[in-house]
Amino acid sequence: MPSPEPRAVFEAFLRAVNSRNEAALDALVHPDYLETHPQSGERTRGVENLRAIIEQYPGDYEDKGLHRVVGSEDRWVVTPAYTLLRIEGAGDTFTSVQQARYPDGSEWHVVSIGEIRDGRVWRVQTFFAPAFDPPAWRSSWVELIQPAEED
Amino acid sequence: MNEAAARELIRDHFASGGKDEARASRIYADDAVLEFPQGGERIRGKANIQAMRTAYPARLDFENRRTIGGGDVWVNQYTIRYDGRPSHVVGIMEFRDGLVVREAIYVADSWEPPAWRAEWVEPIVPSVG
Repeated sequence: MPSPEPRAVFEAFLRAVNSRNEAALDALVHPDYLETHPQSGERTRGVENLRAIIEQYPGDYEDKGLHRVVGSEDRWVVTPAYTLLRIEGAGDTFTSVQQARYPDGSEWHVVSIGEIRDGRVWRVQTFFAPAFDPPAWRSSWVELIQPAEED
Repeated sequence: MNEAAARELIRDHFASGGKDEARASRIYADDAVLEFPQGGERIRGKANIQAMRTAYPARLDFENRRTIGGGDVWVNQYTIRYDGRPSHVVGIMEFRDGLVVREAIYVADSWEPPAWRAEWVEPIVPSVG
């Protein structure tokens, strides 16, 4: 049986985490899984620890309900947790960009770099980047992207 | 996109950034688009990208820690120090005909690891000060 496409594996993984579909994770997560949050210096090893964190997550997820389509290669899904804006990459390495809104109303871009090995998610590095007001000093070279037309 | 060529362009881009913006801009196609999605900002064209970076109101130091990717999409994980203050940066570069046609850059600060998940997490040394 051919291995699933790495892009599809990564998308299914993100979808499973976002929807807290823990049953789906076993088939998607590599035995040597490592997830790193470089901003806080945290590393999660293995599917059991990942599952525990998903189960214990203290906040509520909120679906922003965005639907967008970008390019022929990009996939779009809407999840209960984050809104997946795009997945791009090639080979075994993909980058996902999601938008998240936390209960305090803050908006974040969540960027994950995923590496697929043996048809499963092997490495993930995730960065959380807050929305900010566009700086005035560079406004003369910048056009503002309307949320509805972001590509 | 040939991997060695992509890596060499990226290496030179970061070696020049903050010092020689004309050289750092060689990686971009004339019609390249640079986006800062956090600010909802889009900059069109190599000339505008170079002009913007030349006007940057802080001293910038770049340290590219990792380049990973394949095909026409390469992702850089790096540190920018703005007047010495470090931030984590992820830049996603899309190449066409050997040059970057689109780049999206995300900038993120360090934060304290949450206590609630400490028992399932190993501490590592944060990659940015």
